Amino acid sequence: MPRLEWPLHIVRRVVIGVIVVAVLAVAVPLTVDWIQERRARCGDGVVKMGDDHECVGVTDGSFIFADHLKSVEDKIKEENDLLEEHGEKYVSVAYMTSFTLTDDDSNSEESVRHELEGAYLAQYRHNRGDRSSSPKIKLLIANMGSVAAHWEHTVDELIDRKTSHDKLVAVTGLGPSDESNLTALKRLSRNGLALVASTMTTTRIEDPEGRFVRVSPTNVDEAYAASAYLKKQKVRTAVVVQDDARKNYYAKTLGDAFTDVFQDAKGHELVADRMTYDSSVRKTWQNELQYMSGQLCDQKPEAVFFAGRGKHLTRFLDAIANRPCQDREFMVITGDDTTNLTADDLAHAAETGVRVLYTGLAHPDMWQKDRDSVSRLSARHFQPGGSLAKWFPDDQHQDGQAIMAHDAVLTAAQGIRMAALGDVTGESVARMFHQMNSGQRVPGASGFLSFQDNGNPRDKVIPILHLNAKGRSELVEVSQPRGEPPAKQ
Amino acid sequence: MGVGLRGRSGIISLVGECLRLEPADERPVIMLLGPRGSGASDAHGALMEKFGPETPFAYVNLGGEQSLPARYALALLARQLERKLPRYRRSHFPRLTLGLLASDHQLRMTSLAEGRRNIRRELDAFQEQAEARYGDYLAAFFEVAGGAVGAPDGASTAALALLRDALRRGRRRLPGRKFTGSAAWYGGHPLLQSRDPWEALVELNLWRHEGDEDDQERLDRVLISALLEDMRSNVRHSFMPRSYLLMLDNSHTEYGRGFLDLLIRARHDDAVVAGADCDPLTVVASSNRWLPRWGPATGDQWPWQLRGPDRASLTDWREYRPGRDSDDTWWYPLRLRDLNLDEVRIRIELELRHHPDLAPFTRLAPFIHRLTAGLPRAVSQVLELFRHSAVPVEDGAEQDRWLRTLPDRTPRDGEDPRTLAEAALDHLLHGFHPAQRAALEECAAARDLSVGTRLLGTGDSLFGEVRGRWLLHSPGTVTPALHPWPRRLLLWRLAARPDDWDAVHELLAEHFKSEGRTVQEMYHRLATERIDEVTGYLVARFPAVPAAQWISEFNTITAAPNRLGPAGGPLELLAGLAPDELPEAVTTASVIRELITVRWVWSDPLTDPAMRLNDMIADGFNQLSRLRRTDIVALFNEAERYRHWRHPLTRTSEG
Repeated sequence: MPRLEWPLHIVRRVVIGVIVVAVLAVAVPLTVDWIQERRARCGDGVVKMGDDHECVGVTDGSFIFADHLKSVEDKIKEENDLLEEHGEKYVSVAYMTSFTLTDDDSNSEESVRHELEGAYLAQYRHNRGDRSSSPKIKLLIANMGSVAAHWEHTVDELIDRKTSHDKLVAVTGLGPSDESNLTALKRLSRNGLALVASTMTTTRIEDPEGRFVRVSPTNVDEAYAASAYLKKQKVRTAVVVQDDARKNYYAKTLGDAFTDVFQDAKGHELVADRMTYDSSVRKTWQNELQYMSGQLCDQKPEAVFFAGRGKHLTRFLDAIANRPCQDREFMVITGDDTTNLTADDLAHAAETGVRVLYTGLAHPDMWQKDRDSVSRLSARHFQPGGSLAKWFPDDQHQDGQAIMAHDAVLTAAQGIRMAALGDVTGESVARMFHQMNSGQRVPGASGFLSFQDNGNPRDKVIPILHLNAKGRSELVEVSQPRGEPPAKQ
Repeated sequence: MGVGLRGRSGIISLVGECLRLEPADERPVIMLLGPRGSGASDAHGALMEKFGPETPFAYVNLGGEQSLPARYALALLARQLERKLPRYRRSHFPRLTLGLLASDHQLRMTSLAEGRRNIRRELDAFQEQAEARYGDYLAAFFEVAGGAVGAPDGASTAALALLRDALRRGRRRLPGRKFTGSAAWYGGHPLLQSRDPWEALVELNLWRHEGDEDDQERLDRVLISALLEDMRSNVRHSFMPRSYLLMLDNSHTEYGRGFLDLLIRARHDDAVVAGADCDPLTVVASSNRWLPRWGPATGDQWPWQLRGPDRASLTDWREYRPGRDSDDTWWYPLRLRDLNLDEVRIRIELELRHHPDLAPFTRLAPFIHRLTAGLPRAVSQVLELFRHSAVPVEDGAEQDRWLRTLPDRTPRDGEDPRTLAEAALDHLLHGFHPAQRAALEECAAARDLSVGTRLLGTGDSLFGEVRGRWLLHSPGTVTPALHPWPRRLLLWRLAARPDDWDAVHELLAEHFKSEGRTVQEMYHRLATERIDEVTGYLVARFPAVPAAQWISEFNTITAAPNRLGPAGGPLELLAGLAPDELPEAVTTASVIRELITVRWVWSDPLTDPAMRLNDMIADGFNQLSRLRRTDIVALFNEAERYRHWRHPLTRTSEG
């Protein structure tokens, strides 16, 4: 081998220089990435996104999305940690919705907190409560951000968890019925995850994979229930006030269904054309609602069917309260989104003196009204002195959101239990949704649940609620969808 | 380049060439030859300064008071060569170290087999003891032989710093335990009987502790062979130097000669006899003596002719080196010459950087050159004396008078109380006993030292000793004259003994008279101030011989030494030599007489330091040219020469 005669100190410097440059070439980008990631990172699986640096993604409870969620997230974290500590066999179920809310969201902080509390109750019951079975459930909390703006990131994160040690099999919740959430739903389904919507009521949801079910009634069912109730109360004339925003499927399906079902040959009629406002035009929808009170005085309907979001309802009630024809009483009946209003909103609405009725998704008192239509064991947890009241004593749960979330997670849990005879995967759990008949019906707190092929619940009872003078919802009666009695257990 | 190497640039470039050769190329053993003070130590310092920063080097002074057996010298130089340099990896000498270790302490054993079993353990123990005490094994040799690595005379600050760095203590352990590989080398060495590596090491130990002189010599040969093999092994690797620089000062001493013999023999055995690669050692050795192994000091039987340092080069070496079969092929003897006038002048100017107080004496460069003939140490000594004396700085009669007794001057504030003459002679004649010195003072009276020693009864031994010490001026010239500087000083000492002065010169004059060599006779007559006799001779010769010949004889005779009084400048001395009765008219005899006295005073730098008599000599030749009808051009030219005097670069016969 030829001798090298280059000056050793120069060679050393060059070699060290090259090594330093190489190390820097690797380290600097890594460090920059790391710093960027640190900056963009809120916690494990949760990153900052958007101009507002909103923390979105998936957590096992170790990251707190909002202060008001801390108590319930801590409990979820504790439950999840317990699984790891005990080395229990588990799969994961995510509860996904918008947990970081702004004025643009239809949901309130209370409603999403209640959802998470209900979800936790279902996890607890499945893991070590009255419905304990194996494999256990690790509950993941998935935040899509305000108005589900960052659903893609969260959905991708969830899809990754499918093959990680979390072994995600089902995603529940899924948020309100808007376009982003529906797109997210399809993507999750395509990726083999079982899906259970809790409060998604829009009628037309297409899932070609057949992995989607929901525990809530559809808007059509609600409209039918409302119509049936009005007719039962001998209301003959009504008017439909509807949000015309393009992406608000909830309002459209609700308005269309009520229009279809209310008018009949027996003299029930809509005394005016549908009155519309467009909530997507931010500065004008409030004015539009304001002008409607005068029109209503002119049309003199006995009832007004409000096909819009709960937060718009309060404005609408304000407008009616200031109606020119103060001598005239109006009854306003609307859909389940009213349950998303906060206690303050409801109190404010009650102050208007307008009689407000709405079709809810569920109510704790349903079990007392109709003991056969809901599971006693499940309903018991939502009663005063029940688990929720014990765990979260400062929260009221009349809005039914906790029940719906609970039932959604419980449905997933039952699917997991049923699939446990073989491999528990998203696909196998989704298949079980179609086997939940007769004895395998899900004993939900909102009713015994079995599902049609399109994922809608079969024979779901609908509570008719009344907003009392104290701003609290009272169960008026439990309505049968489409006039048919619920199947008895 | 240090001031000491002015006029030695050929040596620097030659060493540079050697260091740049491929590792296995043949390199000469460069011998710097010259009398004491000829600048060999300066050359070592300058080489150290020039090559030390980038080349592993070792400097060993073999002329110290301390004895330095070869094993010590080898350890010292290996320790220095291990110095870590930025551009190279550290060199290691595991074979040499193992050989030194194995032959260090006497092994405790009752049989060869037991020795073989024990030796590894004992070697480990020896090494650990040495490392615990000195940091590393080789460093232990500094305890017993450290005096041999003192800096060479006149070494610059930079050279001293490099040497200190090379000698710095620190743990330089053998890299791992390389005993096994190194021991295997001993097992294959032709001088050792044992083929088993460990038995071979035991054999080395027995040679050292129980062997006779031959065994000791064999041991040294094996050890130096180990060093050279270590070097060959080192330079095969990348990031290692092509060559190592070894500087051996005063290598004419017993141990120095022994070391050189070992080196030459080992190299010859390896490179010629065994046909292996030549070792990568560039050796620069200095010697103040003719080495006995070169044959008689006449040089007749040595195939080498001494080469001058100015044109020294590898090409020159290859052209003149004897055939490879002779081990003389490795020598490259360079005779260090005296400095010429320009070099003396530059040297003074370089000294000015450090000693600005020498500035007034730059004009005295010609005087110093005439006085010392350019012997480097003599120039330094004179300058040193100037620095430390109250010498008048103004050019003039007062300065002339001060310089008149320069050899008897002592430094005003120096530590050395000796006069310049004593200090210089002590250095030059180091090793001569007092009787030899006294004899030399008398013999120095003769221009031809061989004549002096023969006539004055000291015999050939003294002449041989002087010749062997390179104290003869201009080797190879017809007349074997003593170097002008020691001769001047010896004559200065002889002048203090007037009777002896006169007797010696009379004896020499009579000798030459008997041989019919009148010019030489007159030379010595003039030395005894027999001016009229000399005048008579030259007056008679004036019309008889061609002018050029007359001038030649005149110059030879008037170059005679003098013992004129110590007081007075040239004109005062001249006045003392005037005839008792002034001639009434200008005659050839009166002109020649005056010319003789003027030239005689002029030719001694101590009597006419500033050559103030140039015009008088020129006038004398002019007058002579007018007194002669034919052949006057030579006289006229001579007059012109003195009138427009230009100092010759090298010393000629005028002084």
